[in-house]
Amino acid sequence: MTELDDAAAHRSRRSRGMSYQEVLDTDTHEVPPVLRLQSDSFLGDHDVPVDRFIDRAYHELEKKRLWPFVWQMACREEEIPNPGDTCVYDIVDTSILVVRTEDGVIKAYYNVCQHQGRRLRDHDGPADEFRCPYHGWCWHLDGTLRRVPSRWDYPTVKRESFSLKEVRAETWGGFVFVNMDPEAQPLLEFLGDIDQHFERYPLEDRFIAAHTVKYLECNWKTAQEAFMEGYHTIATHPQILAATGDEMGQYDAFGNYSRAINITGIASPSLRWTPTANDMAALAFNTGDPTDDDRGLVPDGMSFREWGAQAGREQLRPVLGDAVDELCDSELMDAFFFTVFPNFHPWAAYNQIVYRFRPYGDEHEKSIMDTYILAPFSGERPPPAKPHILDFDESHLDAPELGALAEIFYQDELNMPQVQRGMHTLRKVKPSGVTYGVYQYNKIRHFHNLYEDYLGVGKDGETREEDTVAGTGKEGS
Amino acid sequence: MARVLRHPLNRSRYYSFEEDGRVRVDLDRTGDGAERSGHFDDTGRWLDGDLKTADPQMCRYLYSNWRLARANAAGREND
Ligand code: FES
Ligand SMILES: [Fe+2]
Repeated sequence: MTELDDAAAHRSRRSRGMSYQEVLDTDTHEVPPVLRLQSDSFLGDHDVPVDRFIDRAYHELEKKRLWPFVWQMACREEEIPNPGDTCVYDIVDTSILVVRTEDGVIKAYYNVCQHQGRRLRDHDGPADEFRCPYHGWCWHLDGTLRRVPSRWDYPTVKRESFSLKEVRAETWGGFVFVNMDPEAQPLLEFLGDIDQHFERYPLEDRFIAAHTVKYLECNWKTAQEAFMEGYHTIATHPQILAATGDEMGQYDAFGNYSRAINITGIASPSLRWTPTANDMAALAFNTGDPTDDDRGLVPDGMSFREWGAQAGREQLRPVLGDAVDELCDSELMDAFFFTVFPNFHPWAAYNQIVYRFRPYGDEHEKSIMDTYILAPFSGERPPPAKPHILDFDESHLDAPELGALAEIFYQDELNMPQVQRGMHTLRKVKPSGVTYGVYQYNKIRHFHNLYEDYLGVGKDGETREEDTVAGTGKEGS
Repeated sequence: MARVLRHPLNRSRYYSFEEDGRVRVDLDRTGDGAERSGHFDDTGRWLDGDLKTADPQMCRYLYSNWRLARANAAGREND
């Protein structure tokens, strides 16, 4: 009998390795209570139909029921520090212009000229007014109409009714979020109690050290799901298994956001050998053969986690000062990756990563993955890095500013377009769809549960979804 | 230093890269004369050698090591 035939093998519904909470028990520092928090872990064990990843109808439904109603991260506040600074944020077929106005307030407008409909601004950067490049209609930074050439020819144009159309703009963690729904609940209310996870490492006190914008040949959900579980480590990132408790991580869902905690510095339970602390150190520092035990990086009797965490503290000390001594081993070693519904993925502690995923223009089988490296700093705020666009035929290896992360992403890039292609075949042979893990896919299941609520579709692809999607198609005509 | 990585799940396989970016996989270097090896590209596709299969993602990782090492060396030359 193999593990596959043995029903008892998965009765516990958790990995045979240590749990994250047990790992926390070995921490050499005081552990903040928020890391002890665990949510209800069962979000369903149903399959999820693939239509939502490959069907145009779902993309159209997202355009109607998702994107116009959700809070979306448009840019960082640091990218528009001065009055007149702007940022253009495009989502599917809608363009939004974010601006810091003369009184320092951040506002957002639909980025379109009220005359003949030209996109008002083509790119980010400073402006002292918004002048349309086509015929020269012009608006103040506060959105009120300023000038109309041949004013005599436009008797119907009134200053009061020709302001730029506003979009909600609110901030959290140094990010500017926009929402097209005037009735949307305030951003901070939507985020709920998320601050408890970030108060020890506020993201507003960071600067953009790197920002890549990668175009991908897959749906935006296909793309982001590649970054929402640690389960793929065993096949996609095998080189780190000696120092990664891949299937031992913790997954929680709270309100509109979810959290994964993946353990570093404990070997995968799938190994049939026991890496030493020095094997792990060699891996972490990319020094080469992880079987060479002679370097003696880690003092005898010290665990790799304890040693690695201390190294992390010393690395951060020049910036954070002695506050680093308050950080526990887990905060310095482990990966804490959050998802705010639907597409914003900030990492807590000092991993410094933030992702955003969205469709590539109006194309449902292409997407844009933004990666920000948000580094802490001391003294004056360094200028933010400019976005580095990586086209479809480029890879993250073309962005050496990402360091070792580029190599990890390069591995993920091998899967994403192949998942997208494969799903078209899967639909023909397995109508129930993809079979997600019951525990390790908690973040992804949480996403889909909310997604179904927003789109008003059921879990059962065969019946309700078909009706709803078809019905909506008619609604639009 | 040329990196040589043992596959953590299959320790008899040693992964390294050649100067031209091909990934080399050696089976059990401990050597009783029965050693086998093969070359693979960055997606794990077999190129040559009597060892015909390899882990695509380990190949990808070694290839990316080679790419970044080459970029670093070029950077140093430009300094
Ligand atoms: S094993 Fe996950 S998609 Fe094939
Ligand atoms: Fe990955």
